[in-house]
Amino acid sequence: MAQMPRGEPRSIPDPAGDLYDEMIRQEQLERQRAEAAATKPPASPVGHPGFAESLIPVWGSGREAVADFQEGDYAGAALNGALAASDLFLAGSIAKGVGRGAFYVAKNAVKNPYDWDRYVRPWLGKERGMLAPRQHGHHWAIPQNGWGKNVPDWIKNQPWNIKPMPSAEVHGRLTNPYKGKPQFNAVERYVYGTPTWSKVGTGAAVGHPAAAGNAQVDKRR
Amino acid sequence: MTWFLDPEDFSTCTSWELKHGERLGMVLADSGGRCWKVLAVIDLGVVRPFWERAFRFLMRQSVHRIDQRLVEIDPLALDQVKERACASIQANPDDWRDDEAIAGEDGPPREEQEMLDELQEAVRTAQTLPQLINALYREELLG
Repeated sequence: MAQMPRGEPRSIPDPAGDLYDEMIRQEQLERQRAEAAATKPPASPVGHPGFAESLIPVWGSGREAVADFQEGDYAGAALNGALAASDLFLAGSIAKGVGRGAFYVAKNAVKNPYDWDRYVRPWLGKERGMLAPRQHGHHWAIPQNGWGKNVPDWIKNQPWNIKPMPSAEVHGRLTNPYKGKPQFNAVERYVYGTPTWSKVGTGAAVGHPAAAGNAQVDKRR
Repeated sequence: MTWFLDPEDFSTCTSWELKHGERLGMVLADSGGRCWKVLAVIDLGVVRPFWERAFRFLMRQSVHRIDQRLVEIDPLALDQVKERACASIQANPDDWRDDEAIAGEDGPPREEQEMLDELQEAVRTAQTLPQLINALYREELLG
């Protein structure tokens, strides 16, 4: 309520005083809005993808990268761009693998048509061109020995489970000491013992949900 | 070096074998000692049921029916066949090698040549052609 000059309450209406109060209130609101707009990042014309959309390879992370870039979040754009690039690499690896023959399919019904060193390994070397002459192939996900002995050969003796090795020594040190040299530690085993597509795939499997969560936070802002 | 399970196996080959002329010039030996040489291979087209054909096409391992022109050559004694098999093992170690055994995944690391020598020794002890195939390919053929 408007006050009289000496602080006494008014006994009659004062339209000019009420209007003045209203004008001051509007100005304060206006100032607050302007300050909020100055601190808030500009909205992206592309917009952030939804959670499910973020999980779509290439598209989700690509759209999130563009949205981040338009909002000036360059670190986020770089991370999402890298995620989109890894998706493309993964798709390329899968396409290349399928193009060369994704699985070995036995031609006849011999006793063990998926025997590693009699049928599948020669096929991987000669026909599929996956292993160079004298190059070792390592069963990286399902081992040929140990618990892997219980897995049928037609599952484990396939290109997806074989990692070409740079040398017999590297192959040996993945699972045991080799000719006086110690077994690799866990990090070395991961670096040398898993294919690139698997490492990229793991990154994508972790990165996509994380990026999707981050996109939701950006969207709500 | 390869072996054929039955006439169907012999009269078919994969698209890769066909493209790279794997059968051309091949010397064939039967358990009776007779031998032939493959002079020509004629592709008679892709075989197998539709879905298998489709799957094999995607896997780039189509199976083709082939007609082979053979000429009989001088017979080979079993010892000669065994020696040829041993020479092939030595010349193509990648076709016989167990990488994991060399790497020592299941016991102490083994030498490649030692394993090839063992295989050749098993070939030399075979008394018949089926036994030779059993030694080479871990089969259980009778005879």
